Amino acid sequence: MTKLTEIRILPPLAIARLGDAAEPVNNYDLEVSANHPLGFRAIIEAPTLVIDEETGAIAARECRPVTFKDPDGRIRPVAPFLELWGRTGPGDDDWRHLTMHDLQGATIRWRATVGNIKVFRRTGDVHDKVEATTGWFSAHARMPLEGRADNFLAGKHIPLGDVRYIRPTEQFPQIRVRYTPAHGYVYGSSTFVKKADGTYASDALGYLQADANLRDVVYDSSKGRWLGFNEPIPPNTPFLPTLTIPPQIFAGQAGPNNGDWISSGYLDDECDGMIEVELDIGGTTLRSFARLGAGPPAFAPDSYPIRTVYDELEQALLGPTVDPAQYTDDELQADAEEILRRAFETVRLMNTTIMNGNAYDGKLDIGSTMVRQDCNDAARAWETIMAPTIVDNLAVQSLHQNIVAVLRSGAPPWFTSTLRKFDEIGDLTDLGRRKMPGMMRNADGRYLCLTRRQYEKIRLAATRFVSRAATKETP
Amino acid sequence: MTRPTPKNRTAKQLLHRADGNPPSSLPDSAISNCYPGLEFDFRNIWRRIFVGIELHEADCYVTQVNDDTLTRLLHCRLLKVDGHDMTTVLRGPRVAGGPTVDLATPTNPDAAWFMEWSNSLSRVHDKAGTKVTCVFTAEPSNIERRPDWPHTQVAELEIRSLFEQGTPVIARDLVAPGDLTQSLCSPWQNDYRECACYYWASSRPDFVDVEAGPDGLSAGFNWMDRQLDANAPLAKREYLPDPRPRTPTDPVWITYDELFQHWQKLLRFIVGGKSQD
Repeated sequence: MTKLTEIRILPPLAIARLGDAAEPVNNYDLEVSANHPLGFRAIIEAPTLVIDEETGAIAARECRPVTFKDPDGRIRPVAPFLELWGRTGPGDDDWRHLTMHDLQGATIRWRATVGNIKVFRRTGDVHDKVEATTGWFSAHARMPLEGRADNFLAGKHIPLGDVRYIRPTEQFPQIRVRYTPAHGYVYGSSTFVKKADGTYASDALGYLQADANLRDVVYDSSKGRWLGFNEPIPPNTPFLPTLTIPPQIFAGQAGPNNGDWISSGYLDDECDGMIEVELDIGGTTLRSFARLGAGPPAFAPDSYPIRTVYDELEQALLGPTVDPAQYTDDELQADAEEILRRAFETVRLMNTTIMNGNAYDGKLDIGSTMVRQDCNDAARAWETIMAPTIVDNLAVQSLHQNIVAVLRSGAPPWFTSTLRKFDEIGDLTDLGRRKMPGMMRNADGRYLCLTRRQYEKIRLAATRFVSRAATKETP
Repeated sequence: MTRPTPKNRTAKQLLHRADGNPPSSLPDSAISNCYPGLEFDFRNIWRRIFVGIELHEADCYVTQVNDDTLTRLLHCRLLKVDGHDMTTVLRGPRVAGGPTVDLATPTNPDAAWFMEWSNSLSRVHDKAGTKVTCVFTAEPSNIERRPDWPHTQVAELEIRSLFEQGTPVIARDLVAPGDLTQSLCSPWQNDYRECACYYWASSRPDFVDVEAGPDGLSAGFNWMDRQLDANAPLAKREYLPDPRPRTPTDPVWITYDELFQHWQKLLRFIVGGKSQD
């Protein structure tokens, strides 16, 4: 092979999903029906790499039935592979997945480093940072990520998953690692349930009540403040601008003063971090790294969110504007449809009458809706967002189907003016609140906006039958 | 399969699907507009976008200064970047049907509101490596301020690239291990009940087993209802909102303790709109 000039781990950001089952979820594709563009995506079996636990090699590459839980009801984790790619020239098309044959005579080593610093984010105590590393490794055993913090009890850790360098073979010679996430357990700071006032709860017989929620007690509450930590908000305390938004997002109990929130001392086994690789080859050392994270399962695996991590990264990479010359009409149509499909897929799983602020059983304000937040944050008048009679979930689904039909037909795109621009989030007038995406929350706490790039794709697709040149505007 | 259409090789690599990986391992399966029970709080990628200071992940508040020449900026608010506003003004009716007014409150006397980093800073990210003019409040401010707040100070700050040079990888010096999850709920299971907001329904469903009822309106279950049943008669499908105040032993809803201990068995996947185990 010609001399490698650059290596890269792909994907650059891999998402693992927690689960306790022994076998990860099998691979699948999601297919949209050509005849039903807003129908449910079909889950189709795709080739799964089956790993031999003993050797760390791929035992088979085959399609297998797709289930998200095992027969015992445990969730199958998503355990992504990360591949080592390389190129020998400067061209974008020179990239290829490296094999053990490419690496003959080379030395390769990997290192994963992850963290769970949720407690630190609240307490500000650096000794609350839970961190783990595999150290550098080149063998094919599972390398555990044992999350430790200075404020943990001696010898205790939270398992944050493991990384394995998959053994290349003649049949499967490619270079890859696999990250298997943790199980989704809850860890804590006290064997017994502690109440907000600092005393211990007791059971009906007067015995101390053991905390059955915990996989293990790892946090030393004589060293750190997490158990019983108070994160107060108004009215009795001025709002602190350093708090998370929203604040008080940890397991806890109301405290003695209005606005107090007392931590139960719980931690989880989510994490994020990076995996690095170093390759000594041809008298030089090439390096690369990728990001990874472990979070909850996607509980509607045939549905996608509207605004995603990919959309943020794409916009940062390519900018907020779209050059129409770079896209064919079909590509713009497909991208715009995909955004609308994703909006539909979220709306389909929301009770839109509740989210609109409609009364339920004669009662108002029964959910954490944007209606409530307009009222709480800005003292805006309490009003439903849309007319209460038109927001049944099936009616809202029909509206989205109509939009896709308009987009496909070339009919005048009435809906583009109803898309909310990112700098219109302050508009809490009736008209402003009714813009789309509707009833949902943005990263700044107000109504959801698309990325500017998503907005621009829809606008260009919708107006392509009219005139692109005539429809220039700043997204 | 339908996916977004990346327009160059680097962007395509963001959606590179390694052999054997399911779609839920890719970044287009992860919500970015932030809810506490997710895989990432992706707002954190912007905290260190300016060399010398650190910002709140969801506000224009300077939380930390790493350059001795910039200590004057600590706890101030960033109001403009390269001429672009970072905050806006909340306007709407105070009473139903009333006139549109600035929605000032005792805790927000300016009626000002921060606009998310991603869309705001996408206008200047292409200037990474260069300095831009940033306008801050003149004094530390616990209160949000309008972009035209009169008492300001100016600093020329270098913008960092979000990416390692020439790659689609989030830059090493921008995000440390743990940063992308730090502002999520601890533990995340707690938020599945606590949030009571359902803006992230494609990840954490809300309204499931939905079909047209006898009256033509939708009939289905709340996902957290432990009695939900995809085969229930339509007349039996009732969406029950999360009760407030909550009780530890709610007869209908999956409780917090159940979520901590048995979330894997109790929470159902929704495929084709139907609950399944």
